Amino acid sequence: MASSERLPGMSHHRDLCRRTVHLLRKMRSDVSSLLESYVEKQGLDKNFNLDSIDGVPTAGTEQWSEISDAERLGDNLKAYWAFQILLDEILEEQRSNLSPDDTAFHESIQSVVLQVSGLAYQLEELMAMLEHNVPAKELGSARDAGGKSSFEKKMRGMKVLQELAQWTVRSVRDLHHISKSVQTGAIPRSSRRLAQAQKK
Amino acid sequence: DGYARSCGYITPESAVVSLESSFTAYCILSDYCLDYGNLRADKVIWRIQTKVVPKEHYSIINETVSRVTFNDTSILASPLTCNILVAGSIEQNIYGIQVALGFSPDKPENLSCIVHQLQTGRKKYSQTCTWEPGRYTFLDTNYTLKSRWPNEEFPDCLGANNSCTSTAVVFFVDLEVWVEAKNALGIVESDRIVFDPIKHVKPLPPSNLSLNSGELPRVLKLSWENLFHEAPLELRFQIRYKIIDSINWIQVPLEDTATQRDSFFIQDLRPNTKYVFQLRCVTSWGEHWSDWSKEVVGFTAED
Repeated sequence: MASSERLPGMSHHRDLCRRTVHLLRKMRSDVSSLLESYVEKQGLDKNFNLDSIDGVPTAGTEQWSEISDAERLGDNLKAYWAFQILLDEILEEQRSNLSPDDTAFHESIQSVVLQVSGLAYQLEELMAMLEHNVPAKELGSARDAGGKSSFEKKMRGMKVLQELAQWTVRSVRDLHHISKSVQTGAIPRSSRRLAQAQKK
Repeated sequence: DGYARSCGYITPESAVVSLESSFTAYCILSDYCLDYGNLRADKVIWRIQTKVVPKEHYSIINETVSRVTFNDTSILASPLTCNILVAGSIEQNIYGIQVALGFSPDKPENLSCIVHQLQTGRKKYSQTCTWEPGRYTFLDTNYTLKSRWPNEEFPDCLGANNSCTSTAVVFFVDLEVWVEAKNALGIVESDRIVFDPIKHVKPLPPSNLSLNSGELPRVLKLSWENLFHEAPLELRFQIRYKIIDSINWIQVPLEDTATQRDSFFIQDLRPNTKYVFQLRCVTSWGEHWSDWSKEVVGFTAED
């Protein structure tokens, strides 16, 4: 795809990084608003403390500063691929069962679904531009939520949106970290570790 | 079999014909017609509506097939009929076809898109793309606006023949857009444009304007509410004012209002005078000015 109008003099990947950060910040705002209206419409309490739920990527990680740029971008990409599936499930549950008549609410979910898809595309493009291997996309299929109660579906949806909001914050930090290492021309950490191993 | 057995037929059955090329049709007599009435292809008479087609357009292929050719298709009209002289003088209709004349679509040109901020919800936007369809085709022609990211094809946008509006708008991600024009005579695509929708936003105009005169007789403070909020973009403004009933607007220099703000002091006004103010805005990444705001009226203080 030919590139669009870019700030003169700015390299393509810096422009892409910059716009991806803007997208994340907008998503952060839109997801927070969506979470707020989700909690209210589902009659939940936003202070419910939910453990991790199977299949929902958690933003927190202890090794944040150890992982390489390639792993960092790869983890982000896999997370947002997962969120694409999860959000589609939430949208389907709302349309078919939990709030069938609330089309405006469905539109706001759909808008976030599109943003996540755009973000995934842009992360993929960034990885390719920085010559990192793009991870294989596991073709996850929508879970069979047949056995889940309405309450469990609602709670799961809340957890998904909470984690997505957290991921947008983490992703901004990740991209800043990557921007710095690209600007300083630092070689990817995985290549450095390899070089050290060969010295021994 | 209850139906009068037809004596022949025309191929093509029905035709969409280009005004830029020739057209040929064949009238094919059935064997039944040959045996029953000794009717041969040389007895065929072609008509456009009621007018006989001049003989020079005909040619006999064989005893059952008559061919007619039009190099200038503009004389064609519906129906085109194949008729035959029976018993030397009675003209009997054999068959007729409908003919639609027109042009294949031109390549759509000057494709451009604007993202409108909607009144219904300030975080809501719709994207309208417009193009020039080219000449009128005289035929049913579909114009489909297509848009995609490399990993996602968006639903086709089917609109009028020169514009289409969609609500699937994602900022900060380059979108590739093009138009496909299609009718019975052809299909053609416009050039593709790639852009970030955030750079094509036309914001809502500022609202809730108010004027405050304070003590200084030659100064008015104009205040307003900005409706466009999409970090990191900011707004620039254009303010204009005039003395009530005057026709000449006075513009505040753009460079004086080139940063994000929600008020501005206008100086060097005439004391004790009624003024009308308006303003509009544009985003720091965009080029589409909002509409002008509603007017607001105010008085300067006495000297």
